[in-house]
Amino acid sequence: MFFRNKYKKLFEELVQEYQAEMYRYALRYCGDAINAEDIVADCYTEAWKSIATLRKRDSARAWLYQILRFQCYKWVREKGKFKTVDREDHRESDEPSHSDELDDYIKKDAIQMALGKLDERYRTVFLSVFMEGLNTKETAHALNLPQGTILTRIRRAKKMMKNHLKAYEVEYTRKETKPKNIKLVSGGGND
Amino acid sequence: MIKKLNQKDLELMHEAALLSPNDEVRKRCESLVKEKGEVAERVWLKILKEDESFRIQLNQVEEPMGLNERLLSTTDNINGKQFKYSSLFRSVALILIAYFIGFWSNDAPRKADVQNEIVNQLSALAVNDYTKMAKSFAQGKSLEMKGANNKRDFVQFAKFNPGEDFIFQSAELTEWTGRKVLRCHWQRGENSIYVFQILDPYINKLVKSLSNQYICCGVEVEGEHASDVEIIKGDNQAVIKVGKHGSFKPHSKSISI
Repeated sequence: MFFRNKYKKLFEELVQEYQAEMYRYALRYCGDAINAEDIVADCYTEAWKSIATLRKRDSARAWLYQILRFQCYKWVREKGKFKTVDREDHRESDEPSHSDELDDYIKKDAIQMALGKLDERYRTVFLSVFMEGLNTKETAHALNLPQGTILTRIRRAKKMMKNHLKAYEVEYTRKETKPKNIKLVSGGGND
Repeated sequence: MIKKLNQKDLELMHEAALLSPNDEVRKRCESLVKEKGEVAERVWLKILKEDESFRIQLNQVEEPMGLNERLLSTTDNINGKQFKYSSLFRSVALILIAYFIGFWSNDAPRKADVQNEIVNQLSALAVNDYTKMAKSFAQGKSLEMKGANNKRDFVQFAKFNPGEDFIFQSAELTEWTGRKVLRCHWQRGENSIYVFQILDPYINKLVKSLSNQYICCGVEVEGEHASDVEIIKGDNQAVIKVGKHGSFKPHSKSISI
């Protein structure tokens, strides 16, 4: 009972501290809010079941991310596909009346669409670096891959993301629904 | 003076942009940028800006309502008994405690009890893993060929002696309650054998404490003799062979560790 209470307190701390970033990661990974919530809930369920194995409080974040990555991987294997909102449908039905809101929507959706086009191995590396905040060495350690592979994947992922975002911008411009304030990541050419 | 940027410089800049400002590689990159002049500075700033833009855009996510409550309720929904304390280590610890208490009360459980418990728990873990894998294999799910060619996780794996006719199928690193194990799949005709090579020093130490080099047992499922297990105490590593009942000869020294 003593241990259960101790772990419960620790678990609650982990929920308060990391749930937001876990959810962000899961959403960006799977592209769907409902599934992202389920993935995060599964992640915390697994964390609770094995909380006794968490030896250092300092390593809790890395430990949670490890579980989360596994849950995401499991989700891809079981359910399969990255989901993005169909922009055509969205524009017809739910198009916001204010152009700023539209810009905001497009901007968020653009990055989600671009992520959806990335192969899973690139997406994992990309999110580990830009969301989890790991450097290449840490990513290599977390994903159990050589550092050179991580560097190559991150470079390719960035290039693909830029290309997808650019293509997305071109498509939008052509359809004369050019959004005003979109700041897309500037184009490649240097690598 | 403006110096030209080469591919190597660009690679360094991309890598350094992901590092913290105090990192040595990043500092080296910043000095290089200074040295190379205006063009390099522009490229460096562009890379930093790009990366920052990705970070900002990726993090623009609204948290759903009710997620906090859902997560906090996990502790009530999942019973404490479901904690993944490693049953092996818990049982062994309990028996060791009982052993010491018994020692003082002059009622010591025999060493054989401790050994039996280690063998039982290891057999259960191995059979559990084996059953799961055999099921996936039967359903035609492909098993990845890792390990054999994987230099990164290079592990010298235990091999069947050539005369045994077992053909290597796949090898994969896995975990048993957080302890590393290499799982190798071998096939002879219709017989699948899984060879688990223990990479965890703690389990190896436990196995080393066993008195026999070969320990064989059968595992029954609902009264039926389902699988044969053989625990082999190697010099540095323990190996556990699991297969359908009768699929391999125990004590045959068929494996070289």
